[in-house]
Amino acid sequence: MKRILVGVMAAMLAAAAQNSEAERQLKAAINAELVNGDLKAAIKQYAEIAAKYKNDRAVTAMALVHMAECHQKMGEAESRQIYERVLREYADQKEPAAKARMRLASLGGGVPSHSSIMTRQIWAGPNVADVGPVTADGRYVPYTDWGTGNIALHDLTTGENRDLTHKGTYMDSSEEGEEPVIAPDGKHVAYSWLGKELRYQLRVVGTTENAPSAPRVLYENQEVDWIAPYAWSPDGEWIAVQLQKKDRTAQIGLVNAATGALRVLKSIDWRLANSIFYSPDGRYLLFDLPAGDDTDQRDVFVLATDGSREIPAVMHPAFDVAMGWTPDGKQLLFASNRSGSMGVWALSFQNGRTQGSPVLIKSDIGQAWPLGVSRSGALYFGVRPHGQDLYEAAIDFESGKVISTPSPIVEEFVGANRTPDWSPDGKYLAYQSRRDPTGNGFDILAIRSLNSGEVRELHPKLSWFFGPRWAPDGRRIAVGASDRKGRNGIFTIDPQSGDVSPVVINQPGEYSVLPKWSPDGKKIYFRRGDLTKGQFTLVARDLATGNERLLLRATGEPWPLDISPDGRYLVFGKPDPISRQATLLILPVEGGEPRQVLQLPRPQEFGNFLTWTPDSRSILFRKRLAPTESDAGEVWLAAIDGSSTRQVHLNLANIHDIRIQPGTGKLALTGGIMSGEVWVMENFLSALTAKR
Amino acid sequence: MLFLLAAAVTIPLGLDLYMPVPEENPITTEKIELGRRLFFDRRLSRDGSIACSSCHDPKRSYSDGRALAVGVFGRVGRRNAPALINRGYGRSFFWDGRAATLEAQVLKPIEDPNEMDLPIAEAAARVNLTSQELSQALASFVRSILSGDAPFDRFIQGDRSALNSAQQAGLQLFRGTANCAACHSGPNFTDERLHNTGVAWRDGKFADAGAGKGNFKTPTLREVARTAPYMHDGSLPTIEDVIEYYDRGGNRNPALDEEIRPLRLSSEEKRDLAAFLRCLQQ
Repeated sequence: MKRILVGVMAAMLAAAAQNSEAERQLKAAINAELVNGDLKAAIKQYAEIAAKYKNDRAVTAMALVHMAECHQKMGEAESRQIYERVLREYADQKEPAAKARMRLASLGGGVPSHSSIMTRQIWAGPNVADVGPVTADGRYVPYTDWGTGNIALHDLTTGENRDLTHKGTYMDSSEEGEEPVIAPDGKHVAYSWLGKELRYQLRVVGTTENAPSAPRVLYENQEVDWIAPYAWSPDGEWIAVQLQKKDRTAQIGLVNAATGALRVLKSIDWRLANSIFYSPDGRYLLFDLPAGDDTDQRDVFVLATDGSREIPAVMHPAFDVAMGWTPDGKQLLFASNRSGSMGVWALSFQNGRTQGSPVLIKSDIGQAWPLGVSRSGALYFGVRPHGQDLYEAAIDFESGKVISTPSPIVEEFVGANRTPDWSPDGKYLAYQSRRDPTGNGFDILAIRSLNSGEVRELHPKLSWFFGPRWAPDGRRIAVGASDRKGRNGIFTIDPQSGDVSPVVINQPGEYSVLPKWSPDGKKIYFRRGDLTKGQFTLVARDLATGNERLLLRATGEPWPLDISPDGRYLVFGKPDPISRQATLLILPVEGGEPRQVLQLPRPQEFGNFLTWTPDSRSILFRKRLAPTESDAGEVWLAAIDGSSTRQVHLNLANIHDIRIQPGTGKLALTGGIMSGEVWVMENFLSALTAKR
Repeated sequence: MLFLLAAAVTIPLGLDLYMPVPEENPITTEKIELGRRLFFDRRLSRDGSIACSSCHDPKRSYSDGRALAVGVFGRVGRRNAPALINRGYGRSFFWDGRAATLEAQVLKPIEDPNEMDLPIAEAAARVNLTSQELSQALASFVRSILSGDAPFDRFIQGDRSALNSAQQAGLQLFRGTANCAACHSGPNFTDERLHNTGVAWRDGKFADAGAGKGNFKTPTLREVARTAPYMHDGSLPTIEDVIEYYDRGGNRNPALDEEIRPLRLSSEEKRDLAAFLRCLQQ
């Protein structure tokens, strides 16, 4: 009896050891996939786990789901077969089976009622972030190459990319193209251009490969802070635009593609449409707007292009955004979360009126933004870049050696979390988490208790905010932000109530960012840009009196920025005016001459963050090696006396922030491979007809 | 100059091409003309002494120059007669925003005992119309009262000489330090919303609660130089008085709008701001 018991126990121990080894290997594979972004290596590891630990059904099922997800990210068809295998062979494994079912549904073909709809991913990668609507033949999409700021064209058939503008890199110029929209004939792309004077223009550039044309400024007005194209009229004569005036209110209008004349159709207060689509007959614009200042609800409208009437098309408590028109113009398409998740819906539109009730075409499309409908009736949509998350790690601040490699901190809303900051007592971590159903808008401010793991979510009344910095007394969090009346500046958020207070409100033509607290909490240091003069300043603001002191005036953009823990110095990156090399400088908080700490050889740049070590003797920074969006960057540690510069091998791609926990010196990081996606939904028209 | 539309709507420079018009009351030349005649018709008041135009005088940009409106039998109302400029773009009507449509709004003064004091049915009968025809015609006429193409509008369109340097400085203040654009926003210089500016706060209480807690609707600033006196009670006789009022942060009260705070403008800045406000008309 005793021998039998010992034998059973030995078998149990062996199984337990094997289980823990399987789990360890699974964790390593997940690390390769999510942290390193090495999908091919991850697939290999998952396949080995599935083969080696067949008896561990939980681990095997999970490995198979991850393997399928890797294939899916790479646009490979194997993903479907693997998901189906999980459902067939591992239906008893609740979580993996649910994931496989959900993924299959998103691939199309897995949901019987929508069996004729085919949804597939057609492009993915770090550049898939600001992609414009697809051409009528479904072949090309214009996009912004965020590595350089150029407007480019992606061929969805061949996968080739081609620059349409040729401004060089961000080291050559801070200019950038945004919001590209291609003309119906595919021969021109309209886009928003942020020029050297930091003012936006509406521009048009030709797409003909063998006959390149210089970009043409179509609309520029000193009284317009921002303008962007959204859609071309079917005859190519007009471009539907959205613009923001100097009083920060916005308008929807039409710009003549030949003359640049602007016809304002509708003023929309401080709100902005997510998307605007011309109807196939050119008589209407379809767009969405927030229902009010204090709500995230959006509704969908149809506006006659002659200004004669507006039809509130979709008025519903849900979040509804315009997706486009069917090719015959008889249905308008919108995305809505009314069923619990974002899905695509259709509403009949005939004789200038909506008719009947909306019909659900496809549920669970994720955080999608619309890219229009091709002539053949395929609906294109993008999924915003995701993959950034929060990690914790530890390093030796003297040697730069890694003590513990990055491991995830936050398990909720995976891929949507960023910009952490520790509370002064080190007990809480504040961070932004993206929650907009289209992935394009609002963040919440999350406050995570390190003791309990509890997360409180604050919804500050701001249209956007960035870079939370906890005040030394822990009672406020400073952010660069814009309020819901479009006023940009620096605000504080109460970490208990979420209430917002302005600290610095920009005057017209200014913008202020990167707030840093003095150790006594009495001052905020920040960078101010003057758009009218193309000039930047570093400023200290006394919070009690509101008085400001100019610390530095610069023509190059100081970025990033941090203050030393002892409160004596600011550190910032800036291009050298002569060599244009990226230079790291420190400046006494009283002002004076900045001192150079180091310079990077071109084309290297500083990226995203500078963080002073607790002893105020060294600075952690991100080095961008090349001006491409796919550059993962490196983290380095530099002594401010110039005695040493060391790379810190944190083994995490794309680190965007490092914040050091008071007391322990533990790091909180934002990192991970950001990847956006473009999807096509085919055959939805016949499915819709069948439904109707 | 005001644009009185006699035909299909012609939108002056600076205003939106789209004007919200109820589907059941499309604008027609005939209705505008009928509405215009009704607007000046004294039969719509009990004693035949008052027409809409009595308090909304075209020569004063459809206001009346008095602090408080005066109705039949010399009855003095509670509030200043607002200028009827660009009301076609309005989203709510009256100082307290109590009417949701122009069609509803235009009938109220006819019934109001302090204004025209006549039951609507009787008013309609006097002019041989139904109540609906009366309301639709008056609303159509009000929609035709448009003001745009001011020096400000030409400046915005790119004519940098349309405003002189003082007016340009005033515009900067209007959008920036003076914070006027927080409420007086968009092409019509109003957010169409309700705010407590403190004007109604007297002796520790609201002399007029407006829409509640001293809230009143933001009026347009188009033609503002012609529409004195100012505020819902006409208590501020000049543009300079209004600037002084806001410069000191209004009357502090428990419900004061968070946008109202002391401005600390210099004398020159106040002059510039007034110069800008005076260019919001032709």
